[in-house]
Amino acid sequence: MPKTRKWTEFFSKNGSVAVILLLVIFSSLFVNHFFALNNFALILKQAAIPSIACIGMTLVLMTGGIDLSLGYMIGLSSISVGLLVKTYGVSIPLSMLITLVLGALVGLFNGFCVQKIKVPAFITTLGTGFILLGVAQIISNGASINHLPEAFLAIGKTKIGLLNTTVFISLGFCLVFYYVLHLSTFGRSLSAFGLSEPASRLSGCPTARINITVYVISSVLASVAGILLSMDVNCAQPTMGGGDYTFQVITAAVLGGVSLYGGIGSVPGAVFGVISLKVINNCINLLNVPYYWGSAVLGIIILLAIIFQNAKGRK
Amino acid sequence: MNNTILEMNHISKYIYDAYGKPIHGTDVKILNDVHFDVREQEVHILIGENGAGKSTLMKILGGIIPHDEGSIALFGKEVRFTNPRQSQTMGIGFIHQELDLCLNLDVAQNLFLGKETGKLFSDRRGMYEASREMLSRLGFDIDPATPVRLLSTAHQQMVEIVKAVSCDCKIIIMDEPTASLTQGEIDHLFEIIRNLKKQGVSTVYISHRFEELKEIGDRLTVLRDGGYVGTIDMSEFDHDKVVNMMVGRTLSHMYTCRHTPSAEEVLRVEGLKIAPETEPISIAVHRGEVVGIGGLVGAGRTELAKSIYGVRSSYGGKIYYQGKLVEKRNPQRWIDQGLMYLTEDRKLEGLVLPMSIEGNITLASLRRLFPNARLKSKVEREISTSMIKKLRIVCRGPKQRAATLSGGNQQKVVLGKWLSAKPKLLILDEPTRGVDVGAKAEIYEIIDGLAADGVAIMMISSELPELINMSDRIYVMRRGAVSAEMTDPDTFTQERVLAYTL
Repeated sequence: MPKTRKWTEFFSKNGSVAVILLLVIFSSLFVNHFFALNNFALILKQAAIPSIACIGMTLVLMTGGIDLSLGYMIGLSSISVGLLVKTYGVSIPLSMLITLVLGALVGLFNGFCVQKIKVPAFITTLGTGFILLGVAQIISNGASINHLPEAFLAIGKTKIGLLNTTVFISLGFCLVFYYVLHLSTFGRSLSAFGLSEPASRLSGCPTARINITVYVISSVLASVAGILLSMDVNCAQPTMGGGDYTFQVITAAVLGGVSLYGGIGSVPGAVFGVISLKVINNCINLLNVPYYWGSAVLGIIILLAIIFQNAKGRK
Repeated sequence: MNNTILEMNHISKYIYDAYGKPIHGTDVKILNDVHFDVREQEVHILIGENGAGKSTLMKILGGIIPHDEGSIALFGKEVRFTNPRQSQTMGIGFIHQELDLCLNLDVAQNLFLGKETGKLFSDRRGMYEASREMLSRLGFDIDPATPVRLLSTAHQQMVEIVKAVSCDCKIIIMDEPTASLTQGEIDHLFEIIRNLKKQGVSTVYISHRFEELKEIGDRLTVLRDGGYVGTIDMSEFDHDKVVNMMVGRTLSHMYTCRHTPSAEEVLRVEGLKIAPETEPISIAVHRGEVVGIGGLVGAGRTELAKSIYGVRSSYGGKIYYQGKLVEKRNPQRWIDQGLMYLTEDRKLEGLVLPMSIEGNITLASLRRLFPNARLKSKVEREISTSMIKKLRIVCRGPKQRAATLSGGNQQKVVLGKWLSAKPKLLILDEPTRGVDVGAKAEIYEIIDGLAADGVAIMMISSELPELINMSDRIYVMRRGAVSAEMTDPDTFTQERVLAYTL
């Protein structure tokens, strides 16, 4: 008996794993061409970059906040790194560094508004998001930058075996943030802060610092995602990412079991959430679902998955 | 006259876990086989220590929470309430300790909340007319157009009573109605209760104040640790007998005193004001000393503690800690230096309820235990198990969620959190509130033990016996300032402390 109990406990804690397993099993049985090494590699590649963004979002959601500027930060960092490496001819490492610093500053601004001025996160990041979109379009005149330098592209597009370097970079971020969230005192304090702000503050957790840090992390990870996406599509666009991307990332985070009320969430959950989303997408493509149907079907599946998870949680 | 109109038999209630599932198997019942009945036209007093289950029982009667076992018969009919509305329509009015009026609405609007008259637009004139009549019938002199937020607590309570009576209630539950009333207001309340009695309304009256019980009550039921002890007629009321029923043992065993205060000053507060217009406060706490802070609710005791702890703004004044002037105050700095604050509101500010016992216990000492920021589960396990043993926390293990523990055990977890952070001065704000008697004695023992180890204790308490028996020195607070310092434990009496609070 104790063995089965361990399993049920594992699944109730990691609902996203159950969802993903079900999805993969069903897809393998019923969808042609799904069960193939190449297809799995494709799904992993598609999941790599959103996973990085989703980790940041998960951290913010865990404080009970939200980062709606995430998608627009991707656009701004894409055009920023593109302009720097191509138009201004700045060296690749320095361009990337400047872009990441830009992300950190945006995050700092978000965090400052939320923590110090007490503007609700929803409003703060919504506003910041539009500012970022505006800035991205102003500095680029609304135009994309194509044909980025080969050396820049190589960072993300080189293949190691079946997989892109992007997948490994993403894996690296996952490991680092797994440590941060689950094995460090910062992660513990973050979780306590999300579950009970007053209790954690009175217990000496650096709540203000945590609340600002998560926004910085979220924006920096969005910058990373923006840079990697530009490599992936060989194009820097001010409209890359955007609101749609933000909501996909939030969806993935929720699929991954993060609580919108704060406190509960995990890095594996975030990653599995993204993969689930990509598996669903993949199946919709393989099944030749008409394009206009695609997003409706996606929505239904997501709702079902979340209802399923909630029902499990409530038992 | 003596028809029984309400009978509650064999009522039991389990503590629920976060998913609303009763925790069977662990013996945590908050009510266990309780009997309670109310007769026509009587004032039935319900009494018991904090955590005895009075409120839970009344919440079941009020339809706020369901019971798990047992039966309720109202006017001879078997009932089972699933929401407060049902119980209200069946004639049960509930006046909560925390009044639940809409502060932004006026008296009449509150009285007619949810049952406004008129069709498309509410019939305002009619409502005010009716409200005025309802108020005057019970002898209240309140203008129905007054916004409720402008009324005093006593007046708000009157509105609550009118509201309850207006629903044609046959039984009105009053949960500690006199807790924040003045003597004059209490007298008035009693008059109202007698008045209601004449009109055929019974009252269930929850209170701790012995003096008033004899004056108002017809019968008295005692609960203890979630169990039913007995019901007596008020004619047989005897102070010692009732105390015995409530506590189940002689009170002298409750307190231990092994510590002796030293002369070394740990904390000195000079001229601190908790609000711009209050008198400045100056107090001192010594090593190994238990300093009691007495006073009524709202006298500024929690505000003082929070001001010292740096989580609330204060005005002027200096704070010296271990002889040094403290410039900047916040929890993190204080904890590093050994000053800690156990809050009055355990569920909101004391514990992270959904977190494990272990997580809560180490929460305040994360930086001390893990200086390089890496959590070590072995260290956490060791600390939490040793605390569980030391404080005798009844639980299934360190991974059990704090939310699923009983009040006393939750409080012990909070204590464990502070003990593992190695305090030099511990401010305890109502350390035994909502804690059962057994755990209470244990908490007293822990506090005494801490003082014996040289920890300075500042204990805010509304329970006079505990204040008098635990403290080496008592500061009494009134209207935001210290009204008296009592230094000789041999002369502490409830009456003397009370005299300074009023």
